[in-house]
Amino acid sequence: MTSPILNDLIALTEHHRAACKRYAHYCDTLYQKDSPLGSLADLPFLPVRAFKDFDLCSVAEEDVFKVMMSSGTFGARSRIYIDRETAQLQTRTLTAIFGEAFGKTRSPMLVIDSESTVRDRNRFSARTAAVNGFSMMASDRCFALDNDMSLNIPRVAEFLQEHNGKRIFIFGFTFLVWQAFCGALRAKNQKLALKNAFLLHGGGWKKLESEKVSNPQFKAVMADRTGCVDVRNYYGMVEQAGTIFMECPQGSLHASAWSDALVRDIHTHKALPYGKVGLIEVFSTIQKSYPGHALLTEDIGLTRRAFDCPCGHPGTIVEVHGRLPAAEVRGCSDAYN
Amino acid sequence: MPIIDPKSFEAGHWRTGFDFNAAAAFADDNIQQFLNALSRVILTDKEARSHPDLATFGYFCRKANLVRAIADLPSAASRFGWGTVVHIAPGNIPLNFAFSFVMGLLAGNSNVVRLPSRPFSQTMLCVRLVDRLLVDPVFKPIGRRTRFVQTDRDSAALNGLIAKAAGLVVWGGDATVQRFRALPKCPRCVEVYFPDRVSSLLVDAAGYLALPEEEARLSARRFFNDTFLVDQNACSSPTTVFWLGDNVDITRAKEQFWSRLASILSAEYVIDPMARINRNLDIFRDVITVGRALSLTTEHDVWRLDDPEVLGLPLRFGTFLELSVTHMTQVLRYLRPNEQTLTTLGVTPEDVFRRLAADGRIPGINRIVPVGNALDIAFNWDGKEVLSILSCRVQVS
Repeated sequence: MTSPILNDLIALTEHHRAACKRYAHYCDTLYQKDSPLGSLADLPFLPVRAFKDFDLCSVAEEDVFKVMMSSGTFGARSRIYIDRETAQLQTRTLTAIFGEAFGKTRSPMLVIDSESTVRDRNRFSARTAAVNGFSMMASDRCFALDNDMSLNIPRVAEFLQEHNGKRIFIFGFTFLVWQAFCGALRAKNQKLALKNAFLLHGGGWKKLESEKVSNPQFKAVMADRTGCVDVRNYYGMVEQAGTIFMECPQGSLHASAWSDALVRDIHTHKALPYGKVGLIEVFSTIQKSYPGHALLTEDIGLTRRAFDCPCGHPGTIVEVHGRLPAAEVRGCSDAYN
Repeated sequence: MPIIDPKSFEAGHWRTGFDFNAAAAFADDNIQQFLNALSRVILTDKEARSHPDLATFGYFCRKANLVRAIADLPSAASRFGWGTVVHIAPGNIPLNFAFSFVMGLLAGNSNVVRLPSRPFSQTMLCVRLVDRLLVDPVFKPIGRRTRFVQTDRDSAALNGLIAKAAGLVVWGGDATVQRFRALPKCPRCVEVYFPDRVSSLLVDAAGYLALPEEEARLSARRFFNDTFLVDQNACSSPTTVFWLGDNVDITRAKEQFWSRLASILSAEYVIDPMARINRNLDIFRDVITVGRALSLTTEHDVWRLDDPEVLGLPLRFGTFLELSVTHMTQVLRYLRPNEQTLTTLGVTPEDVFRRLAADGRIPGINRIVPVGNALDIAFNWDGKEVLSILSCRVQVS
């Protein structure tokens, strides 16, 4: 698989080998030192969980500008060390990807989350990072949910009134948009006038697994309750913040100019061709401060060639099917449950 | 008598008809008859025979094995059970509970056995077969002293029961052991804990190379059963492989051994995808702990390290540390503080024991058994005579 970002990724691999001892030792243990790097599949990769288990940093401690954390529902949380350069790159790429999808004008932003999610600095999580990251594209901001995650319709109505006639940017995590926004509107049998709005949502469908919500169904309910028909999902993770895979108007999640993806066999980790289901590996060219440029996720899915999608976007397409289930390991170590 | 579910366990209904304060004589006739019958039922049941671990348990209960265990113990005639023993079985081994139950029962105790919460078919079948026997009026007294229960992780009723029990047997890792050690108990409560242990294989290279082809092929199968069958995650599964001999023999023996294993792995073994990722993360942890790159050989699902500095780090999912030694006693310097089992290949366990323990040395391990027998639970386990601990011996003099 040739990739326009292969050379950047090879350079990043070299950079992190030189700058992060732990990364270098890992690569030297698992990969032949001078084996040719002819394609994405040849690059050393880290399991994304490495950032939960270990501190991995490629800059001096005093250059760490902030530490991003994943939303730690279960156990450990990822710790991602960001320096000023990487933070700037994150902002720049996110702005560009967002602008490509929705235009460069800043819109008032309706956040389907509560203010406490971004206020509490101790709870800095993927949601905080996402809300704050996308707030840069906004001219004004309103939190639709109260601290108990209930929808505050009067506040939303007031915000919409204030920005009457403007294009509204709705943002939220997929499960919150579905449960706390669409769900609350349905339960109260209310509708909102958001015809002139666009919705961006991400963070994964895992929390909606039991409800078996499909993307088309999600869009239909959103359209029914709010009139909003420009609904875009994105695929991304705090370990590669910035270079998200944005859903195009045709419904495909495309890699950006700074990212790419491939799929590996779940048992052997051998790279698979387009269309075959396996573990998704994501690549990103903007990780200077930590070795997160080639990450094997625990997401199951497949990739497709860009031209399989009629939208014309040149980025590789990923299709995410779900999460790898927890290991059912045999043996007798600490098995009291 | 169906398995008592967490809700009814908490409510305490299971106590009805349970003889909490009863004990029996050590290995009384009725108990031996019951275990014989259980062995027969298991070994003749078609479904039971399809589970190798259940069949192993069936053999464990048969008369010859019991008679040997009883004869091994001094003064069996003056031994009695302590009372009610609570057994905590590991959640991811289907039949460990059954072995623990038999030890408690044969020693003469009443038994409340906590089963894995996962509904393994062997677990359910084994309990059904026990129940089938317990309806026989002859075995009624045993039924009154037996309960199979499932409980929540932090069950108040379980903690309350342990506070009153005469004995407690805990199988599990260090964290589980810590948790149960910390619980309040009767001052005289007898406690047996099986914390995390680690194990190794010792191959005498010349002895291995001299094996007939068929025997060498079988030894790969036996090693597979000791390790990959349980994700190399049991206390008795080897993580270190010692190669004893000169370099020429060791090189040849390694090549043959791993290639024989590889043909079994490629035909029969599929690693759990999450475990496959964990294997990479384990290596990552190893290099971080050691502080440098390690030399790693990866073939099929066998990952081999050769750096003694990883000793003591958890190796699993098909990761082994290989160490070459020229003399048997060099093994001693590499045994870990919690080393349990040394399986042997190309050399007999008796020979290994004799050479390790010569000149009054402490051999540093609790078990030496032939390759393939790593997981076979015995009445002597982890260096503990379980029947002796779980029974009270009356001194008559």
